[in-house]
Amino acid sequence: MGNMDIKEIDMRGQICPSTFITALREINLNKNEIKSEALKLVFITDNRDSTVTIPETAENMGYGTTVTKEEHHYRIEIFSARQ
Amino acid sequence: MKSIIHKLFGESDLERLTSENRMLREAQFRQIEYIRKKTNQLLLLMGTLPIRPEELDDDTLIGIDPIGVVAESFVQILGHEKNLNERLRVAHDEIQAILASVGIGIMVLDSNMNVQIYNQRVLEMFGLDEGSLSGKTCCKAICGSDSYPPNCAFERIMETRRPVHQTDWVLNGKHFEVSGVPVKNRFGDVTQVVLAYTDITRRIETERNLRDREQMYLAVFENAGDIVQCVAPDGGFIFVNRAWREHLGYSPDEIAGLKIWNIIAPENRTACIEHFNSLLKGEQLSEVETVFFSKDCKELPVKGHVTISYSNGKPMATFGMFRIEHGDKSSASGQQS
Repeated sequence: MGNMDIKEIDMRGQICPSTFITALREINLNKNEIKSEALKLVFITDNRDSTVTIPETAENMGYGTTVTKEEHHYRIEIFSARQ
Repeated sequence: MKSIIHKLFGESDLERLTSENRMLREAQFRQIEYIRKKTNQLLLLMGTLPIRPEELDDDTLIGIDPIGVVAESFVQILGHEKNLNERLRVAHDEIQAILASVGIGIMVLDSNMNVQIYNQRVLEMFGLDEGSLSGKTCCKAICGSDSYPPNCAFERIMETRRPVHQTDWVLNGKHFEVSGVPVKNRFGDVTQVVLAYTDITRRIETERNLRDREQMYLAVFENAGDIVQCVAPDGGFIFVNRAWREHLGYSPDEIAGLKIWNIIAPENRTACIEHFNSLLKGEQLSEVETVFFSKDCKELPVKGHVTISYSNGKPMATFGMFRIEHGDKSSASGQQS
């Protein structure tokens, strides 16, 4: 595995389903790069619902996900499931 | 402005343009409503809330193209599901091949005891026809009963929610070793039970025959006129017969703490150790002559044969059978006493 780029999308202030659509849009736009392990998407959100809907759908789409609680927000990572 | 339009197009054209404009706005409104409605249907399907108008205005809604975004995601979901189904199909085929190849009978039951999956070995073990298990409970199909049989592994697993192992479950005169494992959902409820049967009827019969033969040989040796002894590698006695006990004068309780060296006359012990080591090396001994030493210090000259038996390549015991030669000889100490 070579160097992986990380694209961070700050969605703080948005709520679900706006965050959900934004996340799906980003995943769709970058699907080839994510699947080839060249890119990892990181969504920063303060909307708790998004920590369920986004990872669940991303996993159904075949991606790997992690959710981390940070001080004032959540960090949702979307990456290739092969990692 | 109105007067200019009047001059350019006349009254009728103005009305027509106004009407067309109204219709276009109505059509756009319907289209926006349609997009919102369909978007919300798709979002609901994906487990999220609908979009509120204040969250996404009409222009942004068109710009973002949520139907396109969700549709593209569905394409990926379906692609992933297709890939997953293919992997599941391969895994299913592998499991079927494994089930067919193992020598044990395997059944998968649901929580109501209905048979879901079974392999060919189950049919052979219980003398069932193809398809006779489908749609039936295990107790009905296997045990021919409407209720749980005694020592039912399924019943115990459902009660304890733990794996169960039965070393000897008997059905219609046949003996089975049964291992059962619960399959639980994420709430810890048992959803399925996997049962594995091994037919041990032949093994049980063989063990019974061996026990019977062992008893028979023990009876023969016990009642033999010759002295018979079976000695462990550490010198302890595993078995001695009645003649041995009578001639050497030890009770069964005393024999437990006795070693072979305790019954060999001192001057014969070196030779005896040599015999013992020769046997351990795998050598065969011709007739052995030695002198046993009884509890009451009498010397018993004996002649006989000693062999050794192995278990997993290691010496397990020596087996000796001796007859007394020339009658008893009192030892010096015996004579003194």
